[in-house]
Amino acid sequence: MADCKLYYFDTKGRAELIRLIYAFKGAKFEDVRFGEKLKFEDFKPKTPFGSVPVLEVNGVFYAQSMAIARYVAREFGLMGSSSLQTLKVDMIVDAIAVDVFPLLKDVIWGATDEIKAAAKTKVIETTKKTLPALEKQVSGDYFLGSEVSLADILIFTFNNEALPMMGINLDEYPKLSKIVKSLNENANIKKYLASTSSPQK
Amino acid sequence: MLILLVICSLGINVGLSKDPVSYRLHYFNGRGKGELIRYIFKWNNQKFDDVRFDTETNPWPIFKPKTPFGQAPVLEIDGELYAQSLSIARFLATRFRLNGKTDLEALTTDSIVDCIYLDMFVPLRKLKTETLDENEKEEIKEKLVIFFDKLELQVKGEGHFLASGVTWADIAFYNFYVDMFLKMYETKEPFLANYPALQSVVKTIGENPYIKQWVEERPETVF
Repeated sequence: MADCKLYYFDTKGRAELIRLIYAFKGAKFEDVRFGEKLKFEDFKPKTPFGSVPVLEVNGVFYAQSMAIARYVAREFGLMGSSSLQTLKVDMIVDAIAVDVFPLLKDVIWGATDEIKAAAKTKVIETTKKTLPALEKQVSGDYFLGSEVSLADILIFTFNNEALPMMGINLDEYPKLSKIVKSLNENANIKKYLASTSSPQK
Repeated sequence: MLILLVICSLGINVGLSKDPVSYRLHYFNGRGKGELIRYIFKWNNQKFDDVRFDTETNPWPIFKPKTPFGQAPVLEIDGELYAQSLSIARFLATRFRLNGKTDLEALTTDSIVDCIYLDMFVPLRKLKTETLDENEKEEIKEKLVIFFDKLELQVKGEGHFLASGVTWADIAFYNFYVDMFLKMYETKEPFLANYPALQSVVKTIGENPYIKQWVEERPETVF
């Protein structure tokens, strides 16, 4: 795989899923974080849509966190081994990334306490409907069966970063819990989470 | 014999354009999140069952529990149900060679589609569905203009985003602009007058004979 550079803030945010894919595979990439050496304001005009994360491959900048995650996952064989398997992975990923993630925005960045509270209620309601449906999609140790895919890594990070904010845990979902436990025990992921590369927030 | 061999090998290179798999799309009687999928089928002149829910003969509440996430559209492929409109669209686009020629081109295509449906459609919809004051409306409109400016620069081909050819990103932009933007954004002048490259993308898709025919013959619906 070509040398890749990921540009983002020194936080988890929308880059963590991408970092976790590399970490899971024990693969190297340049993990650039904005700070003194490179300010976001200076980098922003070079991006396709004024947003980050951005992945630089062979000198070209690519945007959109989920598009990047899918690309990196595909390069590492984490998108299933047939077009229908890829579709299954994609739809599970979208159930979280398209239906739930955008709701989290107002929970964190809402302009008023009322907006934040309303957003929190909405995201909890949506998540409680989505989790049972996701549980049904698990067809083995992982969503696709015996092979890890992007969908598993996403549920792992969703459990760690988003569910605590909603006061929800995966106790009622044994199959989803098993995926999270298995990735928690994965040597590469353990190594990454314990390292200084793993952002604090 | 030689000619047959040449034709066969050309067929393999170009790829079978008609998929032998059976497709059935389940959605409401409207364009909404189903139309992108319909356009992709039409572009490839691919037969599919265009099922629309109907309160009497095919009510949504009866079908809903059968779906993966209690939502539509759902694509039924040889009896299996698959959800999420963009995932379905991406699957079909890949099958019909509308997703770029390389993985990096697929990434570019994906990022343009995400910009359109996640970054642009969400604020656009607020203009129509939420009660906003003039300042809030102006803020959204300014945001949208910035995205149009950026998308204009992303058009690297003659009438399509990717230099290598038409992709589902072009169809997505057509869907967004014609079916959503024009209906939700109040504007006095032809909005794309300042965006010749994006105008050419809309033209490429809109003038395709299959798309043209579909737009003429599709049912008139509220959304």
